[in-house]
Amino acid sequence: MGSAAAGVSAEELERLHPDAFGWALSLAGGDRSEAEELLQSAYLRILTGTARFEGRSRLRTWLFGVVRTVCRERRRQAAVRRLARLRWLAPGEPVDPAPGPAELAERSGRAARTREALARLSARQREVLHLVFYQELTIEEAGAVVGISAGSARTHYERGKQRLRRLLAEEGT
Amino acid sequence: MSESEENGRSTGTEELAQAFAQLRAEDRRAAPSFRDLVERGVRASERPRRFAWAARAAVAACALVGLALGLLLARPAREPVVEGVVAELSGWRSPTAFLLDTPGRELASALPRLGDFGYLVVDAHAGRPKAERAEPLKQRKERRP
Repeated sequence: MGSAAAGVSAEELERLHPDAFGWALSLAGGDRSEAEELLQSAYLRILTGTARFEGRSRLRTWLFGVVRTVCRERRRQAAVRRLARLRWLAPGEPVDPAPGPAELAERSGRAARTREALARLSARQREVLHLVFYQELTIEEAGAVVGISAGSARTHYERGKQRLRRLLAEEGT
Repeated sequence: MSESEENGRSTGTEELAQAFAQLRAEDRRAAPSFRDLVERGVRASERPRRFAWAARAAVAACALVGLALGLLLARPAREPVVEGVVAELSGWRSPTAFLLDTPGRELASALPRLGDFGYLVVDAHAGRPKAERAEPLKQRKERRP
């Protein structure tokens, strides 16, 4: 694997890979295959030079921003495809298929309960909380990744934190 | 100053921090290899390129077939033949057709029959005015001196 364009090497990406996977998993709502596809697209953009790191932030923060951009684009494309399917074809595949036995077993753990509670928050609250608690970014950095002001990020953080605590308490965690 | 306060977090977040730490530990165990992920991504991005030419050719062929069908269907149907027009055309005569009305032209268009020598009789009055031709023989004798 060769070095990347725009100064980001594959080695640097590999070092940040576990954190990036956690972020992608959060954006994908816990869907592992979706998270892997998100990361594949993001890494290819970086390694081919389509996405360029210009050093205006930390590499880690910038990488999270790229992954988030890819996620938003894929969601937009999926929405367009769903719309086209609704318009031209018979009802498409089920949007939320029933979980399999393996997934049900996995959901029984505490981490899975945390993930389920996070899924009930708004997207902004979930993203800010993940970046602050999971990735240990500052609230300002989290705001920069999500593309909102520090003040707005703090509001999402406080409200999300209260709601998550309540949800976890309800579930007996 | 605790780590939480350094990150700008408010106090009373330890339980959430623990929950996220557990989540992170589980995700790290399940994380795929970076190299495998990138190689799979490269292979997946090359696949569409391989079929790009075939897809383009298929689209072009479909477009050509569609165009041909469109032209075929858009062509106006033949109008039915109107009987009046046929009658008009069959009754048409050339402005110079009178030139063909020559004396004795029936000889050229009819077959002679055996024993019928009528066609050999030459009209002696051919070329004279009609009134003169119809004059009785008696009147002609009376006019003679």
